[in-house]
Amino acid sequence: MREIKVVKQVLEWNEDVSDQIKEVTSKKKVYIVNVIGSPGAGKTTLLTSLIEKLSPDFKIGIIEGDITETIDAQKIDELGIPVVQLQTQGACHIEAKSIECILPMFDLDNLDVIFIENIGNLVCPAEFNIGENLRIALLSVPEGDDKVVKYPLLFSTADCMVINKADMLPYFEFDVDRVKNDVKDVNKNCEIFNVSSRSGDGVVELSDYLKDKIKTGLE
Amino acid sequence: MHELSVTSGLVDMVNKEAVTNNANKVVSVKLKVGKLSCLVPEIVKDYFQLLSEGTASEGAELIIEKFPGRIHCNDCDEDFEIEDFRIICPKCKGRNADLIEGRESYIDSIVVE
Repeated sequence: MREIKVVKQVLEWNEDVSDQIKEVTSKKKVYIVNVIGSPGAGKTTLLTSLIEKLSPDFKIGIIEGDITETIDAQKIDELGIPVVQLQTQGACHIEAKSIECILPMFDLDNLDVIFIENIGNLVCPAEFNIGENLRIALLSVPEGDDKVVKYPLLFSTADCMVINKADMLPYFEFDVDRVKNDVKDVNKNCEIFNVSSRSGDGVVELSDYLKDKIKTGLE
Repeated sequence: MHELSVTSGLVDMVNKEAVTNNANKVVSVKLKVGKLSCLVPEIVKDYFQLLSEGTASEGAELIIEKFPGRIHCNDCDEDFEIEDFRIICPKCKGRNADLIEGRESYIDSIVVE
């Protein structure tokens, strides 16, 4: 019997592919955004609002991640935006390998930014880098203001957090300051936006932030 | 539930190490799991047993050691252990600190024959 020192990250296989994706998209000048939040947090609706604000400046593509079905992809397709529906057939998160397989389905020479709507889940997707340049964590008001403390990994790894459905604040006991404070405790650099995709409040601020990030990222 | 794909990758990595080191059988695997990762050791162990069947790792003991998160406080210019996900200096209570380790999990070593 002999002991062999290994010291390799358990997720090395995913990290390697994630780095390869970054290499490809950086060459093609395509910026990747990973959008993570619970089922029903409003990821697709937020994306449709962002498409409206960002499409005059950027050519956008969307990857819709779901366990099954193509409902979300149809909504995006109706907007005339290139979209690929990724069905994980039960898996609770998207891995870099799936994105690597999907990227060739897009005409990358004709895109500036791809938004990936991850599987609705606050836990598992947070562990997997999928070649993104920016990670958005989405929390909607009806989910409750204790979610940052309960599911800290996502919020500690996000570049930016969106408190969505802000128009619901009068109807729920949701302490925005508490949430902001909890996020800053785990991630001091996280930018936080109050947004209502439905009323449109806060969408301009978020899209201005994204415009800056995408432009800087593509330089 | 992501433990399934994590463990599947783990079994592949361990078996590759065995091949690289001309070993026929893996006796044990030492895995270090950061306390800030969301891996559940018990689930990883169960999946490991299941996924290693019929491979060089079948029957290998999976030893999982948790290690705490560590931060560097930029104001105190000192390193500290932290108890949870909050990156707050235990000395000055400030947030001007950065995570050094604790989010990652890695294979430390394997014993083969």
